[in-house]
Amino acid sequence: MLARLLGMVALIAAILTPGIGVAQPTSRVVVGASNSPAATFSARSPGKAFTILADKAEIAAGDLLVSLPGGALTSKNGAVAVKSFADFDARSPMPILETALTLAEPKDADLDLTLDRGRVDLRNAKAEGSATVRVRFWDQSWKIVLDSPNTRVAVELYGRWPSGSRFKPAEPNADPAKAPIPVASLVFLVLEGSASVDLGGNTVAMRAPPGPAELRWNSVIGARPQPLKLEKLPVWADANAELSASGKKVAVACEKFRKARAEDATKALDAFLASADAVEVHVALVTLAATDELERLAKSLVSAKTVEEWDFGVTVLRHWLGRGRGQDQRLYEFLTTRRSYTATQAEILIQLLFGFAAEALAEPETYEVLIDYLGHEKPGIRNIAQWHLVRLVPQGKSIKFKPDGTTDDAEECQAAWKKLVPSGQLPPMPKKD
Amino acid sequence: MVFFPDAACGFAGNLEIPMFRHSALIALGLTFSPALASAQFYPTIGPPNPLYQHPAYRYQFNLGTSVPTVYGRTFVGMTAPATRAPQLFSPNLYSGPTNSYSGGGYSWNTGGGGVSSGYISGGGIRHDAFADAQRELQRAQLEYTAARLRKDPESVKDAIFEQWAYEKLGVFSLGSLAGPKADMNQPQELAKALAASDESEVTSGDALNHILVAVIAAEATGAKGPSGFLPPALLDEVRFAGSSAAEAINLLRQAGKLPFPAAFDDPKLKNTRAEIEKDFAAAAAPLRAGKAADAQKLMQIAFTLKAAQEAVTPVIREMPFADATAARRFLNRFETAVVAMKGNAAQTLVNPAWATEGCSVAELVKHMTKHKLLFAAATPTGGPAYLTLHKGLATYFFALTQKK
Repeated sequence: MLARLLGMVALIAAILTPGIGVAQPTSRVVVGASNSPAATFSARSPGKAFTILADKAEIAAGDLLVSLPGGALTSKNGAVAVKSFADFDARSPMPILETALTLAEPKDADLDLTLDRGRVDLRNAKAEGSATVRVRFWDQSWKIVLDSPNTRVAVELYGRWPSGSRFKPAEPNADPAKAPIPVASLVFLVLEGSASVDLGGNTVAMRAPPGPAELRWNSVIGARPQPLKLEKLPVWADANAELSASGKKVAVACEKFRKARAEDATKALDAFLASADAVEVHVALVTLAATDELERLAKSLVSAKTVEEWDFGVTVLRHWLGRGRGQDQRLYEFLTTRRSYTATQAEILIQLLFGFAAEALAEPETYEVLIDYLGHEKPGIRNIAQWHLVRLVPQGKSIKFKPDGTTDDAEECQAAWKKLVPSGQLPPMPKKD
Repeated sequence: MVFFPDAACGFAGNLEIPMFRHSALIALGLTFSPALASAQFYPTIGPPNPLYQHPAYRYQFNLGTSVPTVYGRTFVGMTAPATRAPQLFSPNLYSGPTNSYSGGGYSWNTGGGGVSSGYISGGGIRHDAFADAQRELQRAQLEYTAARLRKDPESVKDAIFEQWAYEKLGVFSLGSLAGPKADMNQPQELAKALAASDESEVTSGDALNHILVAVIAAEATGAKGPSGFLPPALLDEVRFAGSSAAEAINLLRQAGKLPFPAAFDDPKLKNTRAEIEKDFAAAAAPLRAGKAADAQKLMQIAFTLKAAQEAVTPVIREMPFADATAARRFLNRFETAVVAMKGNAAQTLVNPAWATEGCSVAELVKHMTKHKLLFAAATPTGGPAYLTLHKGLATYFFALTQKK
């Protein structure tokens, strides 16, 4: 009798205890391989934290890959090569900071890629014949046929909240599908050879310039099935274009960061965040946001020593917010649960990150309230108010401001701003050089 | 009584089904069966059609004037709706001549719309002027819609690029401080304004202002034409901008029900709010009656507002951006209004007759010209009124500019 009872208890325990008695399914399907040195890619399996990919690592279906510029991978069958790019020199139509993508097990193509953000170049790596890539983004699924070996195309995707968007915390039972979302824009460009793109009903034949080389899509009106004819490749798309001195500096910093990260990721981030070189700090901030390390990003920004570091941090945060649906609510939740912001304070901060409509800039109250916020107890709100003010009123750049300053410092700064932009008045028009 | 087994219900034995069940089913069937298509759409006498909503009477557009009679003032002219109601559900579909407000298929004014020579009625000339003006408005709307469809849809990329440029360069890249008034007298902008056909296009006030400027220019050349009548309820919804007089008129017409923004609901500002209400009511009373203001009372409200600006600072710092700017905007505009209330023309700012008798579009334009007023954005409830006003103003413009 006792044995029977114990047997039953053991059986119930085996059923109820996860991972005991029942083997967990392993659905890790390899769909590609990295061609890049170690630490070029960070990968996150669903529900897990980011890890750094080793040299020539295998890539599993469903893993989100975040790439440093220049990250390269190939499809499992070797037919398609993928390379990521960043916009080092601000030449691109969109300000690409990092690239993130996911590969899936291909059903009707050599490679099935979901582009989350950034730019990738896709190349037909076969010795002969065409290669097919299924590219997904937002609600789109395009089938791209790269007609012949070495045909190369670029896909660039970017999202942002347009200025003047209004932030509103989500209601508890609200349908997330109906929540406001950022706008996104995608550019597809044939760089070499010819390709055809099935947009999901319309198939468009394209070829590298001179010819019908460019397609555009955006989240508001969708795709225009008529390709734009280009006489020559735009400068931003030319992977071999000479970088400017500052662009080279960023490229060097990225490579230095990759090498350091390959040895010790945590140390590399700490070292780059503490670096005296602003470019190195930028690389670290982009990495923190790209890998969703909001806690660390927030700490870095709050303790930013220089205005430049804070400035770039705001750009990174705005970029993070624009990645897609729900990012605004994620930040709101993070601020209210992890950073001891009240609901109103979080709302103020996110609204300020969104920015203002053009009409608001013609109203004195916009400047007046920004100056009011300079006296806010939360450094984040003070600093973002200053971030806007120096952009809107360039004459105020000479006003002393410390991102890590005390409330007394902020009040001093506030008084100087009130003198420059008196209450109820628009700021003096900036002098054009 | 009829007895029969109800096998479907699985009851054993006899189940009594009274005859009234059949009657009830027939009655229900008749109630819920759709009527014949013709019966649904031709004019009928019956309960209101829930799928057809016409605008509230006070927002109908009136062309005519009010004249004094021994029984008081009475309206002489015609009335038409300014509506975007789905005409397919209109009880008057197919019933009579077309009316250009709705693009056809609907006539509110059964006596109008047809071409009249005026040979018998003697009223043909005025009616034709109105109809021509309406046709011009419709043509302008169609042309603008076509132009808008041809527009390059690159706005999203531009919006993204603009945000990025702002981060990098600041306000220089936006070029937004020039504001919408810079191109107020551009023909393209006027065409766009005349073509506006729904609330969202007129509530900002910009479309109305473009037409207003064109009307003033046409009047300056000596042009004359019939103008519609604007009832008091519609005038109540009109808000003005463009000068300190505008702020004063807006507030004076709302004295006693001042539009305090959310910040003033804070308990810390309870006393501030009460003082503003009391002092403003005292200062506004003579001006609302068309009389000269009391200088001492104006000084008192100015002082109260100054104190309020200080009092709100700690409160709005803890408010969301939109609420904070609303509070500052309210006080700033209030201060501007008080300056206008001290001016020489203060006693003509408010026309007491507007609240009781209304005025014509031409009279409204005259008042706005005198005080250098523009239309401000509508209040959240003012959309229908602005749409009606847009029709009236656009029709007046075409009446002034059409070839005689």
